[in-house]
Amino acid sequence: MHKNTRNVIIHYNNLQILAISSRKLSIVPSLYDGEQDPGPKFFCSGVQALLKRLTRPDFAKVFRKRTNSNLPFLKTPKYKFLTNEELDAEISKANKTAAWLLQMPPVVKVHDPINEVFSKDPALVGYDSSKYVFTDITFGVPNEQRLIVERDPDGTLQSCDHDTRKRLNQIYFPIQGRKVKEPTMFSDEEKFHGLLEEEKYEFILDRACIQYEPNEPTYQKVTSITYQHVDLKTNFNMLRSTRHFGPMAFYLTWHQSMDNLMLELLQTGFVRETVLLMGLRQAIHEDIAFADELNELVPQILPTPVQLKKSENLSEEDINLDNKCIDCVVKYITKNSAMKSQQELALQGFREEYQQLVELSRGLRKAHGNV
Amino acid sequence: MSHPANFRSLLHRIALSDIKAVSRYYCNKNDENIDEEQKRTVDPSKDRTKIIPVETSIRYLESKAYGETYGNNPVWKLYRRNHKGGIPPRKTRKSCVRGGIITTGNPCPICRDEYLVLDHRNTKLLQQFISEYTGQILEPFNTGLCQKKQKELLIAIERAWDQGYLTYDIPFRHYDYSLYIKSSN
Repeated sequence: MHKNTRNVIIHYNNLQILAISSRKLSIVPSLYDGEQDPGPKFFCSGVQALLKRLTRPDFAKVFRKRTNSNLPFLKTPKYKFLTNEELDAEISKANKTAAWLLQMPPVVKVHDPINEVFSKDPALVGYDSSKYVFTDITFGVPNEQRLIVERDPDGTLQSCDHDTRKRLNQIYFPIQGRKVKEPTMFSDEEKFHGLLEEEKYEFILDRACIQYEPNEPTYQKVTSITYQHVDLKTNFNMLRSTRHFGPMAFYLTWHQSMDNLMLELLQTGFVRETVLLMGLRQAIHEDIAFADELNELVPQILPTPVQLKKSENLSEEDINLDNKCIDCVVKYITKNSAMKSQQELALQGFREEYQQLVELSRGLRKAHGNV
Repeated sequence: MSHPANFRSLLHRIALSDIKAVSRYYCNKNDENIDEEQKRTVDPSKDRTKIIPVETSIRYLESKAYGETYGNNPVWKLYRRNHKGGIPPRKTRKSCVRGGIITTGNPCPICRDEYLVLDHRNTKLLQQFISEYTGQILEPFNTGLCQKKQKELLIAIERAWDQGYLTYDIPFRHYDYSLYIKSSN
């Protein structure tokens, strides 16, 4: 776990000095606490569709066996014989379950501090030396609207702050998986960075989702450091097909640092997703020069099926669409990109590979007599 | 020189001191006997007074000796409890180690190997007691651990989960978007 020390041997005047330096990650977290509220942009249907498509859901990963049911036994698989209609119904059910499992944690701004004072009764000074906290435990009231007030020793009756509210809600109405005391892996910097080094991003993010609310500063700090680490190490594939890819793409685009993701998409040959990422940037910042073309192209890409592997059978429509995407990418690299040279190189490589694929599929179709 | 009463008390005193001397002598001899016996009869393989550090245990789990002893099985796999009848008692024994010595024949899988230390950092050992199919901690009924070691195991695993040494599948949380859309609008 403690892999973040580096031993350096310095030679100085024939003396060997062993210096142990602690190489801690210098990632600065950045919260959504400025004037701009990411909420309206995030929940907009266009952005949601783009983010869901960018996660590239692979059902093998989405429906993998998880051990969080707390049942001591396993369920045996069921085999059924189905007609075509029944099969379509089952497929649509599977799509709905996948959408449920891939629901993105909300991206919202940090909550405002609570300052509501109900009454000041200086007559109560000296009654007791401790605070009294009153919680309304009526069943059916949402936790956010529950009345939780405190009477301070100086007589003020005021609404409790967010930390106390969360603690008491967890005591009276516990959420499974959430601890009252903050887990050490979040409070201790070394443990947290150790986990990041071991690249256990899904575990960190899932646990952060369940431990904190999306509008808490700690949650935003944890997620922002994780996203930046993923970006640094280009480990985007670890978060693809999970619910966290969308908020991560949104975070990177919001802070104008999605060029590494763009580069990774070009290097792995997913031009359509590069155009979708450009569409996301346009939706958030509206600073792309060729916005009209983009807005025409994105609705053409969204209905196409999610491609997990490179397909050999490219139809003429696919080739046309991909060529338009490549044109958009060229414009983006010249005008809006921050990593021009690397992306140009990647695009060139992709172009050559794509040309081969086009020739292969055209040749196959000709051989099969489908010209 | 003394009075008859004093003389009697003197006699008493002499007798008592004699007895005391004899008994002291007797006690000393007994103590020495016991010490020698203890020193003689403590089997070094049953001595558990020496505390093995976790780092040693972690190295042991990667070593050739461990491989030869256990192979690819978990450490509890080939252990069998001794009991009356076909079905073992629901609870395992309280503890294998009393006063720093193993006081049972057939100690539990952890107590019998002094280099298996239950610690939150020793993930390779802890993982052997977590079911790979359900993610739950295995019962001592199945693994054969004594109750004391089972408690230590539970504490070590909880600490490992809390500090991130061990990962697990987190329960799924579904969000109600309407709460957040309202607040942002």
